[in-house]
This record gives sequence, structure tokens and C-alpha cells, in this order.
Amino acid sequence: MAVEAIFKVDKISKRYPIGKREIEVLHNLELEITPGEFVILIGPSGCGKSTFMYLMFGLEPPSEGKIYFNNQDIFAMHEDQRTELRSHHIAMVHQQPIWIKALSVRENVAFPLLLHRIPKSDAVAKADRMLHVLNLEKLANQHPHELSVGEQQRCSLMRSLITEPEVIFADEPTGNLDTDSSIVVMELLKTINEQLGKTIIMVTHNMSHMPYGSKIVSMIDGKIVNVEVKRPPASPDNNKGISDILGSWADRNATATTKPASDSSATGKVQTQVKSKPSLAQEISKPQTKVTKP
Amino acid sequence: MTWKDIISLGFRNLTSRRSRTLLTIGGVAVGVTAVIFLVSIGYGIQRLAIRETLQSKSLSFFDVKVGTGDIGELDSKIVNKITSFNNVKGIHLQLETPAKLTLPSSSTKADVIALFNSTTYLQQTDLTLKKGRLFADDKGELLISDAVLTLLSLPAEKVLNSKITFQPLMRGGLLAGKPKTDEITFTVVGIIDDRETPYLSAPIQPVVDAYGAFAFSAAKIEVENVSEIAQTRQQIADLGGLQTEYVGDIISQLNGIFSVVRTVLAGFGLIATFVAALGMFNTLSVSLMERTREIGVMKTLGTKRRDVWKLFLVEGMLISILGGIGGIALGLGVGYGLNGIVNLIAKATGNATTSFYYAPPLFLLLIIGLIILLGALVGLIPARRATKISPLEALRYE
Repeated sequence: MAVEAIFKVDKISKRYPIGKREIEVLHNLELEITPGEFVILIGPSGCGKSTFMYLMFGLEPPSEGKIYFNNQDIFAMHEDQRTELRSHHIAMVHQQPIWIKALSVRENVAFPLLLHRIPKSDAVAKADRMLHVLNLEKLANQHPHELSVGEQQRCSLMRSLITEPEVIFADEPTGNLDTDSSIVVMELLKTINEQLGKTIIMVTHNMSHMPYGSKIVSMIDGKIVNVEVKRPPASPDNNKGISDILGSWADRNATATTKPASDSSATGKVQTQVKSKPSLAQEISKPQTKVTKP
Repeated sequence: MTWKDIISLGFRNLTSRRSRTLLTIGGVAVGVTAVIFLVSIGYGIQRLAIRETLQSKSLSFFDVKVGTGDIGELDSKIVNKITSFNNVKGIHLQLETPAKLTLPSSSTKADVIALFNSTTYLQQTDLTLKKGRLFADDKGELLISDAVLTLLSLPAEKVLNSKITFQPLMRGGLLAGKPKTDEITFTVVGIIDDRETPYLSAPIQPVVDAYGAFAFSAAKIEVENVSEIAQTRQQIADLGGLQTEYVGDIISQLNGIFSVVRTVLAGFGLIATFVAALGMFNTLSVSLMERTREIGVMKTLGTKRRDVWKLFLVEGMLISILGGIGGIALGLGVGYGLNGIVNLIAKATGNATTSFYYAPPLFLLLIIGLIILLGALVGLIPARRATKISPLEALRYE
């Protein structure tokens, strides 16, 4: 039985006015993304891959064509409905994590839950549990800008995951990271995709990330030139929750890096294993104020 | 987001840029201080002027005087008519005649003005006693002005409590029957603080009894209901030839003058507040620019436009409320402090203390309302801009 697409891009084009004329940055794109896919949009700088992703994220409408999320035309929705979509179903990780500067790491990670009008104490407790699973709990009270870029990126992933969205968009999430930190973040994304079954749509121009993708979409000059399906979409391990999965990922990652972590070098900390650490699935699945989806 | 979360985030945003926030709040506080201080001085001086005008006078009295040109008379017939008016509670008459005054102990004589009235009448005048007390209406007592003492070349101590004889020189028109020229002897019980006009003030009833006076020079009308005083005055004016004067008119005039003075003073203060509001606007605008990417990411996380709007509005209002509280405290502190220092100096130099600073509670409430409104108005434009920020452009903003 064919799996219904979570995202369907139907002949979209995007033009921007430059002075008196218009330039077309995306041309007649068509794409279907099924749940559990790890889609990598790859192409040279300026080929329109980030623009394409932002259109799918609902931040800007295409000049032509339609984009469907679960069969709903996202640009036929009211602005408030698109906001709800971003708040509940999809999330984004940026190349350079952007934070609310006045808030601590913990409060930033908890912030998306405040948008669901969940009491702050519950939201912060959940953020704490998620940070704990990834051994980031010591950073919870710090301001995000005191963290290394790698730590920031992992916290940013936790922020995107806290509302348990179906799709995570990642705009060159390793663009500012060194090799070690890139691997950590990519492995985390892979775990989120393969074991949690979350759909990942990632923009990159780093060829070394290709093995992580289940579907590689190559773009040149605003056009999709090739779509390569490398493996079937991941299906979530229903016996394990997010915390089990990410917890064991963190265990593996910590064991593998009991040296001064490159991305922690700013603070000179050594990443060590916390043996009693619960997994993220356990933590997220703990009874608490329910995140209601519209 | 809940209001609680928005206010908390707004507060955190402000405290994370502490120096700038404190400077802006300080600016608002200075503006509000200026308004509070200047306007309260206006209120204080107005209150002083009204107290000075009113003194012990009651607003339930008004004066009736005979108009110029022999048109009207304030005779017994008219007095009876006035007394019959609904709102009139009482009528207190004054008779004014020239008189010859003699101090028996020294046989010195002086020509003075004799004002025959009553205690109630005197209480509703600006009369100030230099020494002694007001006369009792039925005990053969009178008051003389300081100027009489000058005429008699006697010190107050010699005259006070001594007998004085006077002979009113009644005009024919003032008398009901044949003029009488009997001398009257009363005891001086008070010296009126007036060095200019030589006059005596004595109870009217014995004179009326003796001379049968039927035409009076003035009267003070006491009314039942102050709110109907205008109608009563009109009724009296309609009798013809009588003029009325009401202390409330003077107070209204004073209020009018001082409301202009206060407006001018408030204008000066508002200039300072306007400059502070510009500072606030600048702070919020710079904050908006600095947080463009932050707002972009808030929107990508699913923050509603109205929550972004509320956040900036709250930040504007927090600045203005905190500045307003500081300004009110500072304005009251400086004003009452200054008043206190002036009074200390006055006491030390033997002068009377006074209160030239007064901030009415209603005025403070109005200021609080205006402060909140100011914050909302100043925050409105950055708030609107923030809601219009395209998240995509914000994310690309450097």
C-alpha cells in the first residue's frame, strides 16, 4: 500500500523582483516526501535549496504552484493556521542557532511549549529532562551564547524536538561546526529519523552527509535535477520512546568521546558518561501536561 | 503564550539590557517628576490662594449690596421679601454710618465710620483681629480698627477693655422715624488689624432698636442649598437695584486662572516627558532591530503575531510604568521635601509655615493612567513593526 506523502510539492516556482525585472530562483519543482524520510537537499550555493526549504516551511508563498502538508495546501491556510502548523507539526534547526538572548538554555528549549500555553514549570521540567538525556543538563542555566556552537546546535535540536513535531527542517545544521561536532549532530539527526521516525528535511552542500539521507534531492540553478531514493523511509521503533532512543544514542556518543569534546573545548569540559541517565523517550513520555495538537 | 509568560519575557528582555533600560526608565522618571512637581506646585499655590480668599468664610453665604444711583434700597420690606425666598436660611445685615467717637477717659474725639453688623456677619468677612476678640451680639461690646488708635494717639492696651462712646450720624434716608442723636457707650473688646480706615464695628440690634433703621447698606445671605445659590442671587437681582457678590465667583475665577497656570506648568513638564517618550521609542526601536533574528526565530517556532505585538507593547508599558512609579515618587519626594525645608526655615525665622505643594490623589491617578497610555502608545509602533517582520527576512537579517 502506497504511503501518503507528508509533503507534496506541486510545480512550484519562486520569483523575486530585482529592480524592474524579476528573477526566478526556483523553477517548476515537484517533490513528494513520505513520513520517515531523511531528505537531503543538496546543491551548490545559491541554487535555491534553502529558499525551497523555507517555502515548504510555510514562511513564504511560492509564485506559482502549491505545497501540501498532509494534503492541506499550506498557503490556502490562514496565517494563524500556518503558525499553528509550525508550532505543532514542523520545526526548524538553523545553521547558526538563533536564541532568545534574555533566556537561559533551559528556558529557550522550553519556549516552544509556552506557545502551547503549557505552564512554565512543566515546560522547563520537560526541557530539563531532554537536556539531561543528552548530557547537556549542566548547561541548562547558562545563556546560549556561552555555549560552544556544537552544544548550541544540540540544544537547538532539543528545542525543535520538544513539541514532538512530525517533520524537522534543518538548514545546513553542521555548516558552522568542526568535523567532530558535525558527526555528533548528524548522528543525532540520524537517530531522530531512524528510531523516532521523524521526517528530516535537511539542506546541505556537504557531500560527506550523503550517506545519512534516504532520499537525495540534487538541485542546480533552482531546478531539481535528480532525486535518488537510497532506502525506504524509517519506521519508528514503537517499543521505544524518544528518550530510550536518544538516551542510548547519547550513551554511545559519550562513550565514543571520553576525550575533551571538541565542541566543549571552549569551556574545557570533558564529556563523561552519566550512567544513571534516563533516555529521552522515557523522559518525554513521562506523564505531564499534554501537548495538544490542533 | 499566556500574559504571564509575555510579561515575564518582556521583563527579562529589559533586564538583559540593563544600562539602556535603566537610562530609559530614568528619562521617563525625570519627565514624570517634572510634570508632578510643576503641576503640584500649581495646585499648592491655588489651594493657598483659595484658602486666603475663603479664610473662615462659608460658601453658603453671599453678599447683597445696594447698587449705585439710588435705584434700590435694602429696606425692611426688601429684607422681608428676601427672607421669604425658599433657599434663604438667614439674612445678616450691616448698617454703615459716619460716627463721632469719644474715649471718656481722655475725652479725645475722632470721626470714624461705624459698621453695625453681627458676629455671623463678621465671620464671613476678611476681618482680622490684631488683639482681643469678636464682640458678643448682646453685651454692649464693639471693635475698633488700628487706624482709630492712630487717630486717638493711644496704644491698644489703653483702649482695649475700656468704655468708648460714639454717636452715629444717621442719614435721614436710613431712618424709619425722627433721627436720634443719643450717644452709645460700649466696651472695646478687639482691635481690628486695619491701619488705613478708621472704623468701629458694633452689634446692629441695639442700633436698630434705638434708631429704628430701615435701610441697610449691605447684607450677607445664608442659603440652605449651595447648589441653588445662582437662582437665589437671580431672585434678588430681579428685585431691582441690588447687587450680589459671591466668594464662589472669586474661587471660580481663581480656579480658572490656576487651571491656565497649571496647563502652562504641565506643558513644561510634558516637554520633558515627550523627550523621555522619544527615548523610549528609540530604545524599543533599537531593541527591535537588535532582536530582528530573535523575532524571526520566535515566529518560526510558532509564536503568533499578536503575541509578538503584545510583547513589545508590554516592554513599552513596563518602561513607562517603572519610570512613572519612579517619577511619582521623586516628584512627591522633591516637592514635599522642598516644602518641608521652606517650613523649617520659616519656623526658624519666626514666620508662619505654609503648604505650597499639593498633589491631589485624582491628579496622581490621572498621571498613572497617562503613563500607562504613554507606554502603550510608544510601544505601539515598534510592536506593529515587529508583527510585520517577515520571519524569512528576519532569519536572513545580519
